Amino acid sequence: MNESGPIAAWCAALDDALGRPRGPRARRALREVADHLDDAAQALEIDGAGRAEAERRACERFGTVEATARLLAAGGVLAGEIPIWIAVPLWGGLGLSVAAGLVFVFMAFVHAGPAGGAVEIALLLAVLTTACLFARLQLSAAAAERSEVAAAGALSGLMLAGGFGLGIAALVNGALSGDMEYYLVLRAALIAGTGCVGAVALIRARRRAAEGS
Amino acid sequence: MRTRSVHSPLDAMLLSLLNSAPAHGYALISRLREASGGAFDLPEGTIYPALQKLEAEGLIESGWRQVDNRRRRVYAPTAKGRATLDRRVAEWREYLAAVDMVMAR
Repeated sequence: MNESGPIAAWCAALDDALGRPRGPRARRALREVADHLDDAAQALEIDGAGRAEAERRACERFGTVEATARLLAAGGVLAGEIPIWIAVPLWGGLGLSVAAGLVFVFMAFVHAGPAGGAVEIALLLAVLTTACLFARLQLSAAAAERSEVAAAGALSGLMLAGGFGLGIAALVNGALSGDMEYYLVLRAALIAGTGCVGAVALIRARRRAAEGS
Repeated sequence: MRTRSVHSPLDAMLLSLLNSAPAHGYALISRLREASGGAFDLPEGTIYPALQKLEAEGLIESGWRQVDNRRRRVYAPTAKGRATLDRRVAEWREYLAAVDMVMAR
């Protein structure tokens, strides 16, 4: 493809028209369209057209940018990049978990407990960092296409939300004591474990995609 | 008779062409044009949404393959797609026979 030719301009316009966020299905569609236009232009060149004219006619035969973007969107290329049933528990759980973490850290500094030690604060930060990274992985568009990643995502979301619920229950009942340490360790282990499962699933999914399965 | 086969013959035609040989999008629309004697000279951009819809329905599957030393997304029918094709061909013939009966009166 000529980088400054009609096909490049047409593809750039389609890229803009499809908008963002951009997931693997949209990227795949863009690549297929570009390949298609290139094939069509090559065929026209073989028939005697000049390169620029061949590219222009290939784009013309493909359809307008607006119509193509509309058809692709209607075909579901942009839909469901992040399934709502993953996004809601993950972002909701993550947000609640961050809020809970902030409450615990605040109490550690202001009230010298229950998360009274630097170790607990470090643990909380590690848990929250893991949760954030894992959520980012899960919410990547590539992960959204794989059911095993989606299942792990939903599970982690439930755990995050559950963790927050336990934290609130402990706060309300005044039970924020040394037992909280065990709760935090358990919570960290669960999140880290789920994160590992999700990461493995994501790696497998990407490997399969690279292999063209 | 299902009206779907009447209103959306493109799906069935694409399934039929892929059933004869897996193909990437450009090859497929070229085949559609040739096989129809030029009657179905559709805007080429219409084929990808149709392919994506068929894939989402589990009727075809796709993967990146080397074709003529270039990487191409190649489509092929699934077992479900072949069964669906058989059914749609039967429905289409039934429809044509019905139209024939009406037109011949």
